[in-house]
Amino acid sequence: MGTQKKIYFDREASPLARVFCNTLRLANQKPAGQAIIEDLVTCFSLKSSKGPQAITIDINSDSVRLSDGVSPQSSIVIEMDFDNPDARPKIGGAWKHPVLTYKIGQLLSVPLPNWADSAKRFWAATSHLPNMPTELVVTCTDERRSLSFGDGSSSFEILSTTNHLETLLIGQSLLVVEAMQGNVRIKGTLEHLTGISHAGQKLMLGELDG
Amino acid sequence: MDEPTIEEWMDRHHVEIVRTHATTLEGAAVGKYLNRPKFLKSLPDGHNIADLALAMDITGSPHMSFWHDFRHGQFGDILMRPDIDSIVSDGTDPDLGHCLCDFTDVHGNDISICPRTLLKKIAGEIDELGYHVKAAFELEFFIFRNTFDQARRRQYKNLDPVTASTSNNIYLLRNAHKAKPFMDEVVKRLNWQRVSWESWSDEGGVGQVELSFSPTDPVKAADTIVRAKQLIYEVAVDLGMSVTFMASIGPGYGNGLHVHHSLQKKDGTSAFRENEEKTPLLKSWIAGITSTMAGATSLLCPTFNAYRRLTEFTSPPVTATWGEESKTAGLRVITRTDDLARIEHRLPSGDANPYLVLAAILGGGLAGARKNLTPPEESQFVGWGLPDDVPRLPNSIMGAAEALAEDTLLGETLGQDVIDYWINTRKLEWLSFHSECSDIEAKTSTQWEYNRYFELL
Repeated sequence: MGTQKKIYFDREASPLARVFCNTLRLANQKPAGQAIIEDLVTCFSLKSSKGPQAITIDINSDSVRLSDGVSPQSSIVIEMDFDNPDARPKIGGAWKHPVLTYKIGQLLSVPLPNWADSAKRFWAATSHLPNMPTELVVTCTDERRSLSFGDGSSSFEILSTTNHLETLLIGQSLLVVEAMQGNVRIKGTLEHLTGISHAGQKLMLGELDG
Repeated sequence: MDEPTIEEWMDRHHVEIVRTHATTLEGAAVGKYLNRPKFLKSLPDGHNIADLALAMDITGSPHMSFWHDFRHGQFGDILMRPDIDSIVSDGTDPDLGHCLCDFTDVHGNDISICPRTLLKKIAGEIDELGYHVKAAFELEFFIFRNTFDQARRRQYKNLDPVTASTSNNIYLLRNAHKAKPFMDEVVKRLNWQRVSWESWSDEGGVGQVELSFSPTDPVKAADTIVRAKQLIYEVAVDLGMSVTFMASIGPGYGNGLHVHHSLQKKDGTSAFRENEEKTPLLKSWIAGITSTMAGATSLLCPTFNAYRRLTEFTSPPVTATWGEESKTAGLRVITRTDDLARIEHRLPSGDANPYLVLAAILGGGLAGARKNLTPPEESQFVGWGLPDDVPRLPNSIMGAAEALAEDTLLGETLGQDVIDYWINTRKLEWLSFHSECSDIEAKTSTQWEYNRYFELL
């Protein structure tokens, strides 16, 4: 494989464009995702089936640019429910570009890294940020396994199931939101809760290499 | 005023209840009603209040994705320390007094992100340089004949403006006469509360009024706006009407919070004009404010809604420029006489926190003076409609936050911790809009903005 394509968003891009930027960067870390991104040169759009939100993903030979709105250059427009990724999307232009449609589908559904790998990457990318604990303990309750990172002078523990840990640690959900919804249990101070949530938000918005 | 004197003052004014009053970062009024023994017992440190008071957004949601050291690890209290020199009697309620406060930690230490404390710090640093600031705000707001309940039921739309004309007339006495019963009550209460106002008039928007205040020291000038906004809201409630300081309620004129300021030397003479010339201090002061104007925009235009007001040819400036007597440049510099020598900053919007507005503007000037900066050439052109390659001020909440993040001068002057926390609050506002508003591509104020800002700022 050659050099990885640079994946970036416009300076004032919406949160949606930034979230998908993070998704594509994660896909780019997997050999299967990287191969698709390397192979593709296209422009396509994702549009909300519930509201006006829309983004365009423009993949050229050396970079991937995410911007707001539906570009007239888009070969394919995928209408989807962003709040429910499992809902079946409507794809405009699929009949004209069946292979492209298939590859985009693969790109957007590259499997997530497992929680343990994600936890390692999360700590590596965020431990230097303000208000982070010096030790992070991640406990997967269904595997009954814990991993700890850093040293124990100020510790924060996150406990949850595989699924919730996977989305949390790659920046697809926020710790404070997951804790308030009861999906995640925590042991630590408010300072560290805000610090880890802030770090997750930075990952989510593509501001860190996670 | 010391503590025995405050008791005498309360006796003399028959004050049995004191309402303490401070602002959140965003400018919402917060405080408590205290009975006389509790208020006196709390002096000089003040009474407890949850640290949430300074760590919540405009909807009351705690700041849960960023942190400042004044907060407690498991939620806790801070103090509201009364500035007893600010106590006034209500005038309408015979038992009630009002007292403005600063937030401190439970040990009485200043909190750097308390808006009033921040402004005091900047004013103090200017004082140490040997100058005294005088500042005066012009507050714009819309008045409606509908109650707040009715306005809420109408989703803040199709309200009945108080003035007569439906066009964008300005200074019309017929419009002013329609607003006069409301404004009579406002100025009566301002006088009772010793808030020094100078004039009011019909403004450009339909149902809009501008109320101008007398020059005074910067903290008092900002206190005046904090008091006046609350008082105007209360008059509206008491008269069965409604008001809003929202920056933009629709196409056309929005609400500004223009601010004038001047510097005097210790002997009381102008520090901005000497021998019929602009002083070197004024030049470096202008340089500091113009070079920090892009970053300061975030503090001067804080809400998502504020950027809808920043359209060309509708009064606010859109460039970081200055010009003598220019109302279209970023700064209107007035130096025709020593007595009048001052700067008018026309960018702040009506929804801004006046303490932060003055802290940002004076902080910019102070940085310019300390570093002896050179100002850009005076703008000779109309400040609107300029070619596209002329740099504009940020035109979005995130653009402004990013400009502030890059502004090292304001970071040094106001404190990087203050700037970092503020930027996080703006990012939260931006995320809230994008995740909660169903009409993100709207070209005019959305329902989300009305619901969030109409009544609270």
